[in-house]
Formats: sequence, C-alpha cells, structure tokens
Amino acid sequence: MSLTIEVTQGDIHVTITLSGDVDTKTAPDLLSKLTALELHALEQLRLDLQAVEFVSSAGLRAIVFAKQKMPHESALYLIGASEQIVDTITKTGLAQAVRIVNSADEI
Amino acid sequence: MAGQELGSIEAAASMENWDKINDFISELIGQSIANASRGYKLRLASEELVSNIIRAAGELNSGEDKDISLQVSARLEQENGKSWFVVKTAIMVGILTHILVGAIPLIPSSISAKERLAAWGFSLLSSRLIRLPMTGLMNIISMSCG
Repeated sequence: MSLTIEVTQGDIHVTITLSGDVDTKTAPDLLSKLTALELHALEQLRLDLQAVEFVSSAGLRAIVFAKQKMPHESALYLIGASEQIVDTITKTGLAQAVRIVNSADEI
Repeated sequence: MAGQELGSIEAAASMENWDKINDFISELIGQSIANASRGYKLRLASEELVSNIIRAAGELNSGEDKDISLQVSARLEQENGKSWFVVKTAIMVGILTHILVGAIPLIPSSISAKERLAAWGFSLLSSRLIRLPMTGLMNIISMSCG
C-alpha cells in the first residue's frame, strides 16, 4: 500500500498527515519530508496517524530521527494511532519519547 | 504434525518485487489469522525479514554478477491442538562460475616441461562461464492463529 503525506504548517507546530502504510518502501518518503523541515527549530511536530494501518521498524526509525533532530524541550505528538501501532511503539520504548493522543483536541 | 500449504512465491530479491512479496504474505495472513493483533505482529516480522533479505541481496550482488531470488511459502500447521501460521523464506543464488576447460592441443611441444605446465594452467583458467544454482539461507517464522 502506498503512503500519502500532507504537511501543514501551523503557528508553532507542523502537522504531517499520513495515509497508508509506513513501511520499508514508503518510510524514505516520510524521512525526506521530515528532513525538509527545520526540525531543530520546531516546538511541536504532530504526526496524524489516523489513516495509517501499518508502521514497520523503518517507520519507527523515521519517528526517532525526527525526535532526535528536534529541540529537547519540544514535543512530538502521535495522533490517532491504532491499537497495534501504539502497542509496537510502547514495546520498543519509543512511547517514552513521544506523546500519544487520540485526537488533536487533546493537545 | 498435519499441515496445509497456503501458497508460495519466488521472485528476484530486489526492491522492485518488495510489494509483490509482501502483498502475498499480507493477504494470506489476513485470510488465515482472525486476531488483528497477531496478524499485525506476524506482518511486522515478515516485512522485517523480507526487507532484510532484499537489502542483504542488494549488498551481496553489488559489483558482482549474481542472480539472487527469494522464495517465500506459507502453510498452516496443527500442533498440540493449536493452529500455527508458518512463513518460510529461502534464498536461491545462481553464481556465474568459471569452468575449467583447456586449450592443451594448442601448446607447442618445443617448450620445456615447466613452461608447458604454466601454459597448461593458464589455458585451464581461460574458461567460459556456467550458472550454478545454490540453495542458501532459510528462515522460518510462525504465529499461533488462535
């Protein structure tokens, strides 16, 4: 399944809305979009995963990449991730580095 | 242990076939494992395995004339009253190998025995190529369907 990526610039945050699978084949596209952002100066990054069915280790690496490039006090939100994706993120320990919310209203 | 073959696929181990191979596994997982969490975990493991094999095949093949293909098969196994979904991968490597054929009749008889031996060895190395298929690594991953 392909991956659609939409980047929206807010006042203090950037929202990346994803649709499809984030896997070995599509994760480089996400990484490319993340690299194009000025992550080092970003207060808040929101990854909207409501329309994402699958995130492989390559997808997790892209999320880790973003978090590592962002300032220490910044926040990376994962919005609307499925139960399976949250389970993977929790088991890999990545949940300690990101904030998992069900919808953007919770931010 | 009773088993039921679900299908198999073989394709060149390259990113061009990544979708084809992963779609094949995902579809069978979707058909055979009702539990979404178990199916997702098996898909994670399968995707990782296939991606690693394709990546390794790319590195193995860099700069060399090898023909590497990936064979993936899936089956259902029954063990101790439980049903297991089993994914098996095998790597097939065809290597272009020098075959030793001589040009011994062309070696002049006037040269010394030592020179004849050297010329003989050289003629053996001046060879044509044949393809020798080899069976390589095999991986098996499984997940309970229950």
